[in-house]
Amino acid sequence: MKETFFRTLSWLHTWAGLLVCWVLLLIFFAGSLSYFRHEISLWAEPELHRGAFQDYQANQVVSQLDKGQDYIESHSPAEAQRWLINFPTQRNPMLNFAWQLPPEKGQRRGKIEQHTALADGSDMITHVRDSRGGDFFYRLHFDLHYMPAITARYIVGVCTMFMLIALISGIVIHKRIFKDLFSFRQNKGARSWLDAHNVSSVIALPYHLMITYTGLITLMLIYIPWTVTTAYPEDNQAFSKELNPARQTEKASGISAQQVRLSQLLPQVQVQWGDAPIKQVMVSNPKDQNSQVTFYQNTGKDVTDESTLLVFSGVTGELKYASPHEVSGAVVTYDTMMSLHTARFAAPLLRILFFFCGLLGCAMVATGTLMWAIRLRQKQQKTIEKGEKVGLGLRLVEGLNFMFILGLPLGAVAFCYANRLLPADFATRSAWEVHSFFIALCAMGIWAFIGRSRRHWQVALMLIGALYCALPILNAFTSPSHFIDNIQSQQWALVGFDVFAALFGGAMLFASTKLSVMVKTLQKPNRKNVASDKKVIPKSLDTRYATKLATSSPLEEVKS
Amino acid sequence: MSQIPTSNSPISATTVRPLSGYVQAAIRWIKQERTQFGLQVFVRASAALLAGYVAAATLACLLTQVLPMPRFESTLTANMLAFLFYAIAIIYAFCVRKTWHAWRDLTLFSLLCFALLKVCGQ
Repeated sequence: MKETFFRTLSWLHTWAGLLVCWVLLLIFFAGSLSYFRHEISLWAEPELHRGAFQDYQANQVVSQLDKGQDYIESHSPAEAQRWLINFPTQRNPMLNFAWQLPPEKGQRRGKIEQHTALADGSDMITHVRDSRGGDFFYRLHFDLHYMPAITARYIVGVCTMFMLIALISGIVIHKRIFKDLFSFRQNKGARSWLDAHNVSSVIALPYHLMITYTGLITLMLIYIPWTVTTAYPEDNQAFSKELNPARQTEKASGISAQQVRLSQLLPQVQVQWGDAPIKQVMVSNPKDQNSQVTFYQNTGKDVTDESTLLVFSGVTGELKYASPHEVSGAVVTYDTMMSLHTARFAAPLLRILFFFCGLLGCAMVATGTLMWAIRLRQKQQKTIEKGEKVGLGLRLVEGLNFMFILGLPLGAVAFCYANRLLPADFATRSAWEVHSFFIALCAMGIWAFIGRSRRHWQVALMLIGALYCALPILNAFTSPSHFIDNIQSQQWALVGFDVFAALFGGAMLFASTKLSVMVKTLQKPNRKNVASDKKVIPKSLDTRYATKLATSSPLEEVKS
Repeated sequence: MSQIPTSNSPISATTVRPLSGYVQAAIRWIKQERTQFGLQVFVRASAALLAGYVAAATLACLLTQVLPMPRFESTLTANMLAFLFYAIAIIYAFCVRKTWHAWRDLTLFSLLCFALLKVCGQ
């Protein structure tokens, strides 16, 4: 391509990164938030914030199972496909009884109706606002939105492959990888952005590599299905059966049968698992000849994605399947890769670290594309000074930067506000919460049309920062328990949400004030400096800061 | 071709002159450095994305047959490695010295894997 291997990869790094950077930013952002999927979901359902929190109690399991079975039998419609009893876990400290209705036309999964027990066992919470909560960000991460899921997954896959290439080529062109970890040159224009790009990439480099590759692996059977068709020429079902031996639930026979009492199965469960906590009990095709009961263990911190489960016949109570203790190396590798990506094993502190690494990934993408915009502007500086129009490419890049870097945080905060401010019984409220995310994103796009100068960045950052800082206040007014209550009742997920919102908002406000200082200093002394250099002072602010940039191109510096 | 020299008649002159003008303009356009670079990028990028994918996928398919494991495990292993092969193929397509070699080498590699797959599959 270019003269040397090094230069070729440098070129490849630029283009592989830039072509998909805004989609990557969206994926990184949604993915980082998905680490706290359950916590966001909990926050989005304030009806559950009072009276429902409880811990797992081993001696209560029998009575809870009995109560749950009776409750579901008397409340669920006869056509329910599944019954679910969710026991309290660390991240979901509530007892839920739920059932899944058959899927409606055009939908793949049926709706799940979920009722939550009050901690004192006195009553059930039946009316919870309709919200997708953290699941929205989880789906956004790989299914995007407003398009068929399969199309979105191909788009995400291609972008991930670009990311992998950008990472590999980035490592190759980065000669001083260790030295640059400790160098950050402040207020040096493009050089500072390059340093920020290097630091955010290198600090979390193992994470970036891991998350990109395991991301491809989570959907590998969609991206490269040919291996399965080669190895299993007769039928693909055999492969998926080996992959998920327990998931092959039998179809309903249509012959009704007496459902076994769930609590009667507990002695068998204890023989297998001892006193290990149970996470969920699922009854598929209840009251049918082919009914199955599945017990899921709360495995907590195992670094593997495969769930430990027991499957019983729902009629006779006979044990039909127990997840194996010994599995092959390939399966363990695959499970570990999946689990590393989803971080299901992670305890709170490790989860925060993963989240922080995810944000560093966002920073890596954002600084990379900001640096590109600055370099483009540098290149066009002379023609701009002559009074010619700014090129379309540059305007597009700067506009998209403005739209995505500011629009994604704004979208997330708009989602939270919509969740609390839309009426709780509004029919399509969960859809409108999602729309509000994209409306906010588009609003930033329109703003980018009007102006993208430093002044605009500063105002937008201040606005978004203020909205984030006000989230704890919003929560205090629109949920039954405020920040202090949550500390007293030790609801660290809700406390953490408030703390994070305030910190994130604070950081944005800090960036905003930093920018305003820079704008002022650029206006005053630099005007003299530039004038003494006998350069024309352009009127708009964004061209003014470009004049301050170092003249040498940062990437050229790395190349040499 | 035989009609072009007979450009004495007024009708053929008006039709041929702009045509040859287009051809010359096209040749000039192709000889431009920018276009050359653009074409090179197009050929290499298409080789990387398409031929690279096919090469990685066929190699992975071959591995499902030749790895000394039960077929379920070899399928998983091969599929997990396929993305590494794809990444290598993409970088190769951009780094090989001659542009058209990107297509040639990756296609030949796929054919080789496919042939081996046919041999091993029996």
